[in-house]
Amino acid sequence: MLFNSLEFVFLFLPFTLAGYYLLIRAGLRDWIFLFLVSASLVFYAVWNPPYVLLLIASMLANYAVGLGLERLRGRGQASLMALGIVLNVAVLFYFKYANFFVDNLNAVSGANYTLERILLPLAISFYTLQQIAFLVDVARGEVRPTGVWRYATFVIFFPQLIAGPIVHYKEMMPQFFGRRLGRFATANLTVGLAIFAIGLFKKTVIADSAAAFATPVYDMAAGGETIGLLAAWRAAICYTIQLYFDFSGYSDMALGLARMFGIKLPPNFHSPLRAASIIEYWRRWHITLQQFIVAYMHQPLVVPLTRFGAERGYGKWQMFALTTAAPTIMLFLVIGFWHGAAWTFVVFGGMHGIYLSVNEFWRTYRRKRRKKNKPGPRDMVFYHLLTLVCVAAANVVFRAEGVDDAIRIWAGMMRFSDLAALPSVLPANAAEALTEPMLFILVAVSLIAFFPNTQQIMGRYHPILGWAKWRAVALPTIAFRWRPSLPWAVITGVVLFLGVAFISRGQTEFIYFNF
Amino acid sequence: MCPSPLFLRANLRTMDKASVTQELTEIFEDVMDLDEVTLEDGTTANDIEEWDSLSHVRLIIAIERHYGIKFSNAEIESLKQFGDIVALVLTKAA
Repeated sequence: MLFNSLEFVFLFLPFTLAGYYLLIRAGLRDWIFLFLVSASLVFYAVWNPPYVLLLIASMLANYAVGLGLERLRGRGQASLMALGIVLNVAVLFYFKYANFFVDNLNAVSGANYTLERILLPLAISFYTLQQIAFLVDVARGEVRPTGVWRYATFVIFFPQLIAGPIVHYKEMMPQFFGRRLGRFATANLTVGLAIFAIGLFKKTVIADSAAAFATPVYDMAAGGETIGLLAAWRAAICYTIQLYFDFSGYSDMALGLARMFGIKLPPNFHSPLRAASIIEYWRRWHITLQQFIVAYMHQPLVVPLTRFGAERGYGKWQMFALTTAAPTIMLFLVIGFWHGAAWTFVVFGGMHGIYLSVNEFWRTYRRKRRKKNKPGPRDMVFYHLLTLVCVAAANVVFRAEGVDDAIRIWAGMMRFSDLAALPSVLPANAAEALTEPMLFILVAVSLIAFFPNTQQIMGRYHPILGWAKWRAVALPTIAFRWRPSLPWAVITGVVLFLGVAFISRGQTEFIYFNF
Repeated sequence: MCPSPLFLRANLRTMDKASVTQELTEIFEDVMDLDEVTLEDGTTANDIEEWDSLSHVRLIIAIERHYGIKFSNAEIESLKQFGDIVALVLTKAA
């Protein structure tokens, strides 16, 4: 079921909320989680019933491994953890990448292996990572498995099931099973609804409009046509707008939904397109994925490499290559591929890996000098633009059907010879300049550049887990905050109405549902 | 090559909290390429721009080598504040 569907908003959500609060009122605490898990399974089953069994099997198997990890120590524990991770990755691999490998094998070897098309199970990329994190946390002694219903609630809770945020057992359990459950219901419902409304608006009004401007150009590229300068930039910019508002809109909706149940989720976005460097961008784009990379991939890889380099007495730049550039590029190739079984995602990951390495290199190289002369306002504008252009260029291949399509669009972005012909297509007056895509891009870019993000708008109500860490980051030029007053009630109503009304333009899936 | 002053002090060290804090601050400044930084028990990566996941690993390995100890992945992951590092070094190097 999609968050941006009428049956979700008007049927599933009200019934689930009513059941949840009735059970709390009636004091039937033990039934609450049975109810929440069952409702979430219905939510998932609407899409494809057989895969519910896969989800349940994965959940039970991981819980069993978690129990084992808690009992064992030392070698046995390490082997079981490795086994658990391998099993999770193997299941993901079969459902997500088997077709890709067979196709590429056939293409390279000229053989003709056949494998029926395997339908990607919704949410599998996310619940795989979330459960791997759980296993590692148990092995590290940070959490203990505390009952299969609790674990099921943690994995299957519908607001974060399909596409994150990737949550951690230790941050969810105190909320679900603490004493505060069901308190401040009215406040949580109101704040949750406001966050949900913003997310829905981002998705149906902004992201789906951006798609209408971007998609035709990608279709042209897929048809093998040559792409001109303006069209190529329109494709790059509009798709970046689409991706940001689509995925951050989805994440806001997840946060808002969970909040209606009195649960706070960690943020996935904090104005990433307002970042002045790629490093900063990745701290604020898909935050829970980035945290997963740091804690469970980067650290186990880089710690031994750094020890190795330090023992050999490597110099500064040798260390940089060994412990920064090489692991970063490798991890981002893997993370790119995690998004989808296609070469486009590998190229996307490789580009970001290189961006980050260049960024780190530059930082290390210029550290001393930067401390003496801080960058001025003009430098900052340049850094912001450079970051955006890099991000948009990588997003082209993220969106394109194939790498050759992306190359056609990149070629278009650099077709500066078109500039000579530009005066003839340029508008004669200001009114003409405000074509539809131009106006849309202007509005969307100013929203990104100057306006508060969702958690900043809801800042008075502790909208996310770990709000203290974010409240002073990327402050908006134009600041305002939601409060429970009549004007804000009207605004929320209008935003929600527009969000729902725009569903009628045609429901579109969230981009990240494909991953 | 003559040993660095850091190593000299390590050999003569007395393992109390004040001296470990002092030594760790010097290692921290060295790794992060900072001069004169004030670290308190509650200082976190949020407070210091240069302290990110990359430099955190370099810091930890420098501490390992300085004290001849070894941290596990779980321990490295659990070190959020400067005070956590001081406390862990005190228990491990004692």
